[in-house]
Amino acid sequence: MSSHRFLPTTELDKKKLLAACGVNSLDDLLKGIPEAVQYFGNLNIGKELSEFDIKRKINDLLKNSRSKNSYLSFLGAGVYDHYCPAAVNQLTLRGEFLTSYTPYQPEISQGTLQALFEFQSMIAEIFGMDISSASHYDGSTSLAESALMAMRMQPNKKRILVSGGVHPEYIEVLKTYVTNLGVEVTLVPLNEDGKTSQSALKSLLGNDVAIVIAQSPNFMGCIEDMKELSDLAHSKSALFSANVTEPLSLALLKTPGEYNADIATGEGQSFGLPQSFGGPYLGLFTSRFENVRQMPGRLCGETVDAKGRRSYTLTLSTREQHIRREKATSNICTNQNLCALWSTIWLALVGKEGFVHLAEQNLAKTEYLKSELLKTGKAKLRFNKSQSFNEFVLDLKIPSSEFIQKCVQNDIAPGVSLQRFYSEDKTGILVAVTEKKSRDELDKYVELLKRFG
Amino acid sequence: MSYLNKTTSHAVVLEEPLLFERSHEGAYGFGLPELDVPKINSEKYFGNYSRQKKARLPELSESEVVRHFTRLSTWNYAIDLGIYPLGSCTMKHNPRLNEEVARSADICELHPYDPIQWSQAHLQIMYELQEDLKEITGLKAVSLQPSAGAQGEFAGLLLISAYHRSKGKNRKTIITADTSHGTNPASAALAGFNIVQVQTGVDGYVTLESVQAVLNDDVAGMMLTNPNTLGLFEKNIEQIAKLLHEKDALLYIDGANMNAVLGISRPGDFGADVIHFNLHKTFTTPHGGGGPGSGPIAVSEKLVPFLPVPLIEKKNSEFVLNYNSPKSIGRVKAFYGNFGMFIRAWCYIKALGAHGLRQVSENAILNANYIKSQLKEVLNIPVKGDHLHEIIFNDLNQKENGLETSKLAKALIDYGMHPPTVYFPLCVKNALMVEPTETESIEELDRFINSVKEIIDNNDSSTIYPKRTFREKVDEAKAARELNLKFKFNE
Amino acid sequence: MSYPNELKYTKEHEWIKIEGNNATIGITKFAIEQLGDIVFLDLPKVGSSFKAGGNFGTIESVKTVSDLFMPVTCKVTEVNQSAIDSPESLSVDAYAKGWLIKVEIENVPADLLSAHEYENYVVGGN
Repeated sequence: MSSHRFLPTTELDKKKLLAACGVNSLDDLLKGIPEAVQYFGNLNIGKELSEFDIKRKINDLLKNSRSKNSYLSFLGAGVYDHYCPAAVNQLTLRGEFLTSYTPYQPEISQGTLQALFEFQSMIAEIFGMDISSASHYDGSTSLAESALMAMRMQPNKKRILVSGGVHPEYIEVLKTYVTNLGVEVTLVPLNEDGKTSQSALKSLLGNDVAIVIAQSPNFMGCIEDMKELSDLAHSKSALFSANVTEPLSLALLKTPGEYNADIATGEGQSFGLPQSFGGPYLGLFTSRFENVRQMPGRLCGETVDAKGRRSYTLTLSTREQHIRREKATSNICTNQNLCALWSTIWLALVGKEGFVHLAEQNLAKTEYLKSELLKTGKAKLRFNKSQSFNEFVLDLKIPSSEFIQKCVQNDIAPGVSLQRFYSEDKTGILVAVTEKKSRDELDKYVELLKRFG
Repeated sequence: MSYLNKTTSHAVVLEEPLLFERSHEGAYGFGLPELDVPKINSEKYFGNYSRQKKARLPELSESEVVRHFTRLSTWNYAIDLGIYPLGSCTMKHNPRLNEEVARSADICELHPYDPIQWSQAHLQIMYELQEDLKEITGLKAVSLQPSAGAQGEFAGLLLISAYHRSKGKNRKTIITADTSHGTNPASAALAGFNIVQVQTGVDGYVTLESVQAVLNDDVAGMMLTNPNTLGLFEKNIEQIAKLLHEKDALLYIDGANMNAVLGISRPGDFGADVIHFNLHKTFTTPHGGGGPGSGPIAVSEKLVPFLPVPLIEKKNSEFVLNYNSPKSIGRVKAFYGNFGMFIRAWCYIKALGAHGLRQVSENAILNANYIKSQLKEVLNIPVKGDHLHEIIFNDLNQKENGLETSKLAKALIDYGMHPPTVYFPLCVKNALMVEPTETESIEELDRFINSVKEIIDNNDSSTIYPKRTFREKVDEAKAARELNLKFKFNE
Repeated sequence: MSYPNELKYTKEHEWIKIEGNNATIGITKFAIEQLGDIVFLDLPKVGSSFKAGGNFGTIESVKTVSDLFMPVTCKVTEVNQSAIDSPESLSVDAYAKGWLIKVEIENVPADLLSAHEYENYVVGGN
């Protein structure tokens, strides 16, 4: 029998290795496993497949799913379909990036480390914050970790206020993270303009609040009054954490640094990462320099080598679990390194001017669709007094489920039903428009609304 | 400095400045279609909400960006270049089909909120991966949601706490062993538990007595790595599980070392209640220089009601997301987990099949034991025993010659390979933890073995390694003291 | 390695120089060498009070972090800012310029070690 294609050890090699080990058979090497707990069955997971078999299997599966050619999506809600130049995919396929481990040995990991330093520099610059971590799992866990960081910095405060405009799944994650930590999470409702209610925030704030968390553009697509929310939080000496699920918006919008956020987190998927059915994505985490020792996650820093040449290394690892164990600033071990590299290359290609152009196209196309949809008279903009970036809530005259179903039959996903998150919301859909939508495609949407709305 | 030294260290390993230093005004690496709708004046539109100053991203052409990152890549060591024997990390070959499939448009362009009828292939892949992981562990149900091993631990511990709460108990203690990964106590602390640590016996196993000594009605569960980080299968595991279960405490298995026991031993069969996988280890989704990982958990019957939502289920012939699980601990991340890793792991399991998976573990064990047989005369093995897929040495025999663990590790770099894991597990002084994995050939194993031997033979106490790398020994103390964490622009 | 006779020591490797009601506290040369390159000191605020054996701060090298334990029950009167600013200086002069805090003593426990006892303790491999 020939060896499996992943395994270089042939039957002949095995004999040599066994002889060198001084044993007769592989079973002799398994004798450390008590017989009672050895498995002698045959796993029910099928026979080995060739590459071609696997490809065929996947193609068969895909026949039951959508076909990409005729398909048009206006889905966002924290995941955005931006264009990614071909160079990004190809550079991240380089084995030296793809198949290396965490850069714990800096002398043979300078490529990964310099890229991380560049990543941290670009993210800090985009967010207008002092420092950025080397990345987290995703936006939702970054947000939850910002709350944990605030609790560490003010151990006597036991309340967290989170805006109702934060992505509802992020709020669920936050609640899961603090399940057993004796902390109370309270939602600050949105007002009729789709923004966090400042009067509600005022009445909920107290000296026992560790952190106020808000998102802009928020889940409804509205640009929040982050400066005012930040000032309110600080007036009661709470920290303010800004969450940005669509960081491309920061090309045009005031940065968390400009409105004095203490921590700013976000989802970096927008920086060219594929939507990939929910992950892997890229958690962004930025902070003030003076709180660096309370920050969770990996950090890359500049230094020199024995010859005095500029070099990079992971640093401040004494905060991390492998050294401080139960006293660590977080249990996080990995970062999302390949995703961070991906976005670093994407940002380098997009560049200073491209970043702004791209954001402006998102804005222009969104405003175009908004105004054309309004003209049909078949729907309203729910929060027409608030500005948006590339996403907005459309209020239909018919149940959203009905409209979505009809559109899907025509190969268009017209938006995310808000009913998915708020069961009482029967008419709202969240519509996202990126630079990838042509005017024809936008007009097609308008036609569908005319027909089915 | 001469121009020659300024541009190269070795021929074709090129120096490369930061992106920001390369940047030159007006360069552009990205083309957008012409705007086909009316332009909006963003400053006017956003008014007070406008950003004051453009983000200072670099300005570079595509050719410069490609060259920049290609140069950077040549400064990395990788599994594609050679042996990467990091103990407990399972650095093995990443089959390329997995990468091609995961990046293909049909697979990677699906939005997580796309209509369910468009997501059937993706959901089926997730469902089948769940089924396969259930079979491999002999457990009852799987959640793929956790982002990485540490998050799998956290989720698993929350399940344990939810289980006890559902019985009206508020148990607060988790037992760990001194051989455990640092994430174990860190995750337990995050899940609100106090930690009691038991010492491993001199023979490298956790003893029943040590567990008995700390077991009481406040113990919610015990976390054990099996095979443990000494490369040994916890021989008392079944009895430990029984002991715990008698007190209604649960057994958590850290599955970091699953690569040793695929098709050879199943955690569910020896009494595990929850285990996390590291898909980037055992099921070879690429490490990517440190993530993304993926840390699915498998659980016993008792914990099924508490699994994170949504659950991926099969209803008749359709695959669905089930959010209706009233006892669930909730979500540990947005959406459904790192799908891009699931598809790679799915391809890997399909490629190997039942027989192939067992081969993987057998060959991993064989390779580790071959290294043991060739190095046991020159390096001390602090804990003897029947090692499986990894073997732990230390520097006891070499220290008097001035060859400490850290020096041996750095010297191996000059021999063109990544060093083993060092100074872990903590219960071994100056440990050197070697996990070759099944994808190394005899030739590559010998390259490692011969390098270790030559370093020992030629040891010169005055040499500081590494000498032959793109960068020599990096000053980590300076980095920690000065904390330069981003590029400083000229204002 | 020598340990100044005029100082008292703890098993956690702090030294203390007692002068009437006041004392100066630092960590021993032995501990500093064990830690390696020291990169960070986290010391308490002036005015804070501690019981003997209490944790009063941390000291970090690149790869380890250790808690600092108070040898006596006391109140902190002064903190060595120059040690905080350049923690690497501890390895140069552990017993004079490398002091960490000055305190006002409230109570001295009976189990402080003499230089001789500490040296024996350290040589004993602990």
